[in-house]
Amino acid sequence: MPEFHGPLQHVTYAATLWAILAPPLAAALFAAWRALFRPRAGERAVALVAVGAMAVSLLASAAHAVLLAAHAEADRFLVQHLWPMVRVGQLDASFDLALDPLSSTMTLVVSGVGLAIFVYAASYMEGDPAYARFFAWLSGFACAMLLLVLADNFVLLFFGWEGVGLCSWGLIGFWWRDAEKASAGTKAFLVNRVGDAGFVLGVALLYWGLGGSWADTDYVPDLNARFSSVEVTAEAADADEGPAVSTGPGVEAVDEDEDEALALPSTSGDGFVTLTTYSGALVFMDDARTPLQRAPGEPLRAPFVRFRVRGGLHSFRIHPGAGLDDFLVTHVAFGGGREIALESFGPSVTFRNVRDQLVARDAKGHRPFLEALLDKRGSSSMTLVTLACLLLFLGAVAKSAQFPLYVWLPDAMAGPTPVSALIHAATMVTAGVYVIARLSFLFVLSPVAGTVIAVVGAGTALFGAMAGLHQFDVKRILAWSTVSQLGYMVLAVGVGAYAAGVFHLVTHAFFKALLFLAAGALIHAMMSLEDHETHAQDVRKMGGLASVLPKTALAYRVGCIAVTSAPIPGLAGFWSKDDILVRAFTAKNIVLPGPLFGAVGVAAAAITSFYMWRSYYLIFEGAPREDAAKLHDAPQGMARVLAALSVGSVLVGVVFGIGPRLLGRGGETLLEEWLAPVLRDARAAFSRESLAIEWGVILGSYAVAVAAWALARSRYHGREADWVERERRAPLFLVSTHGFGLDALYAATVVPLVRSVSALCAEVDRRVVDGLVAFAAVVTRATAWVVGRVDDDVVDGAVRALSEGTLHAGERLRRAQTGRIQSYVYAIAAGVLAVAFLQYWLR
Amino acid sequence: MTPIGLTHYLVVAACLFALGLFTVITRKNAVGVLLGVELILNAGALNFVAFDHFAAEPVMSGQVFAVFVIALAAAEAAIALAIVLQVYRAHRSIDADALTELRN
Repeated sequence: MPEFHGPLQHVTYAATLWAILAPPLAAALFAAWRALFRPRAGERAVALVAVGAMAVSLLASAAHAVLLAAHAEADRFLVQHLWPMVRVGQLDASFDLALDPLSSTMTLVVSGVGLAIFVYAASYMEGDPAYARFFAWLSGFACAMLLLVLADNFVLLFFGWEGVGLCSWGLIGFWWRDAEKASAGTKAFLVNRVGDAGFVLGVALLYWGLGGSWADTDYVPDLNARFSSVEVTAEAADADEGPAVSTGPGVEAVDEDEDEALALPSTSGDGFVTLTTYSGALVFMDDARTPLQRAPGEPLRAPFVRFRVRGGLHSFRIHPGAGLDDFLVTHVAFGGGREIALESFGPSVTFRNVRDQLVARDAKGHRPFLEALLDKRGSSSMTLVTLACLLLFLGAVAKSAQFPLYVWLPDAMAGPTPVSALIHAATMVTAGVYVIARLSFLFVLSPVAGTVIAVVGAGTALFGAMAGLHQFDVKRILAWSTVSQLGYMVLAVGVGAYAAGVFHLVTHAFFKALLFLAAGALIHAMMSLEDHETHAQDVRKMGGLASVLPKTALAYRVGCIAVTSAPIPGLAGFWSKDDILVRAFTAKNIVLPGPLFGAVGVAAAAITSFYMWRSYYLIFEGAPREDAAKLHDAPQGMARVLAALSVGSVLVGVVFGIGPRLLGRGGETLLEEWLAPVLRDARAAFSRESLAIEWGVILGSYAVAVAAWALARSRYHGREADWVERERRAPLFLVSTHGFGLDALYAATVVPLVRSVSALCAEVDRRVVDGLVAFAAVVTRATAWVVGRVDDDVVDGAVRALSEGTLHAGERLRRAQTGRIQSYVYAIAAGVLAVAFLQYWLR
Repeated sequence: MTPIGLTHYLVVAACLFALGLFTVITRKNAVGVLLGVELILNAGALNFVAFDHFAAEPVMSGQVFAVFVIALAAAEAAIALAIVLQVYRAHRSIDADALTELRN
């Protein structure tokens, strides 16, 4: 009889997942080789390889998405085991790639938007002396991001996570000869370290928490009991209960299923065995000497699902190899077409394994691991799951530039514009949102953590928008816009609307890439008039450019409409942002009232609309400068990319966002349907969504956005000459323009603290550590001296004395060697006589 | 007067041995040394014969050994004289004291 039952994650083995990841890696290596050893070779090959690699990656992503869609909904999970990486104790962190609808969406966005940015960068960076180095970092960046989204476990994800951080350092500080830019890269890297510390702690806490060392479960007392048999059931049985805390897990009534579960299961007919953990492991059934085989001579390796075995009792030995001990599962009853999974319980870093443990129910219908995770409280009154979620969220705060760690992002504008587009649109900053969505089954368990996340998200959306109000640097305006939009995504995942958060991530990838690349084209053009890029990016130096840069202006306008939904509704951001706002208004899986977050979101939307259109009118409308006629619009390569992204920004929202929901049919959006298998365990509660609320939110947010647009238009379209002065007098100008003084705060508190700590460390190093070393050196020298004396005088002395004694003795004894035989005979005779006398005496 | 017993023979043989040894040690002439050696050999042969004679059950092996010793002495004299001859050829002298080539 299986010890557990539950809807475990089915996986399908896909031997080609590496094809998504490998091309950018190869391109990065090629470009790095060029940069290091062939710096004078042409740019063409580097650009071709990098762009081609992204294209191949996009094709592979698309092919796998199709492959994924071909599976039944619950089976949409592709896995590839590449090689065992870290296997120690109970830890199995293999180099395994996994693709489910969520990561498939991410790979499509990363490689798709990435491809557009690569094509653009190939022409934007033309003539840069470090062209190859740029593409080495850029391809590496894409590769790390793909690794991050394809990772099957925390360890691999962390590799991607750190790889993204490293490459961002290389890209933000790409023009490192400018000390300010180099330090911007370092700043991004260091701020992300803060989050990484939290992330690692969160992973460790979760790992420890699943270990059961503290929990009241007797399921995982030792390693041998690590594997249990789990009957895989459809999820329908308990689909509606969900782990929502309002119902309280563990209090569900044990219904009549109990008798059924306790009855001995039938063993007639065949059954199926499943093993999805310990990739690459072999399985030996019933003391057989050879492992189970898929076909003769072809051993069956984990992960596999539904391998047919005949009915009856079987026992299994799971042989993970790579130095790990074998695991035993005995007396598993098969038959009746039931599917039994051999599931490992206990500490795990594999996402789906953690999830499977949380959904597994024992014979009484309890979920011991879930309950343990929910019941356990630390020294503070926080549950373990809340603490783990908050620590993991700290990683997301840094990576996704949330309050109060968003300070690195505006400075990250120091990198070349395509880098800004890539970091902000498709990669890196979305990683935090992705991780929360990936772990949604965990985050949904903690309304407290969800509330904290939502507060941070809503605050960041508002503060980011306010900080963007009076910026003069076009890239900084967009940077603060990114911060603000990321706030929306985090707000969404905080209130439990994971699909909405990912939806906004996708639409944002398109319109933010579009806006950045349009800004890049603008800067590219302005550089011909200005000597320094600070001036080329300054909106005060622009104005009326729509007539000379029509393509760029059009692209920028489309981007503005997409992000603000004013004045034309229906572009990308309209659908995703409203989805988030509706969810925020109706959220129930948080401890604060949802409308609060919704109201903040609407306010941020209004401000967003104002500052985005402000930037548009300042740049493209009004009186042009005298020498504006000399400007040239975006070259062909860039313009095509802008066109493609514009089309994407227009369509992506409509395609994925139009919900049958809005028409009152109660269905879901396309993207929600697609993501449903991933998020099936993360059903956060929302209050009954009446269409009135939805339409109200949509119309309300649209109305304020249009009002803000109208205000921006009236103030900046035909602006007065002293508009800069008037802005400077605006309330909060100084605080908001400088990101609410967080940089100054850090400069006043954290930085001196860290510096003094580092000075202290240096002092300790110099005094204590070096002192210890010096002391050890003195002791060693003294010992060596003593040993040397002993060696010289005693050991060598003995040897010398022996040899010299021998020499002297020889010197003396040779005198006895007279050569006269007769004296010898005399001596012999004397000796014989002496012996004779001696014997006589002694007797 | 006591009958002549084993002791008398042994005393004579001992004297003979002592004289032979004395000759070997003191003679300067190599040929003289050889003469001393002959005396020593004869002392030994006398002992063999005497022990055999006075043995409880005479088995004649002593006499046989005496014959061996005589034959051995003849062979020894032949070889030794040959050596002395060679020494003389090399050194123009057979003075035993002067032959100190193995010194030190």
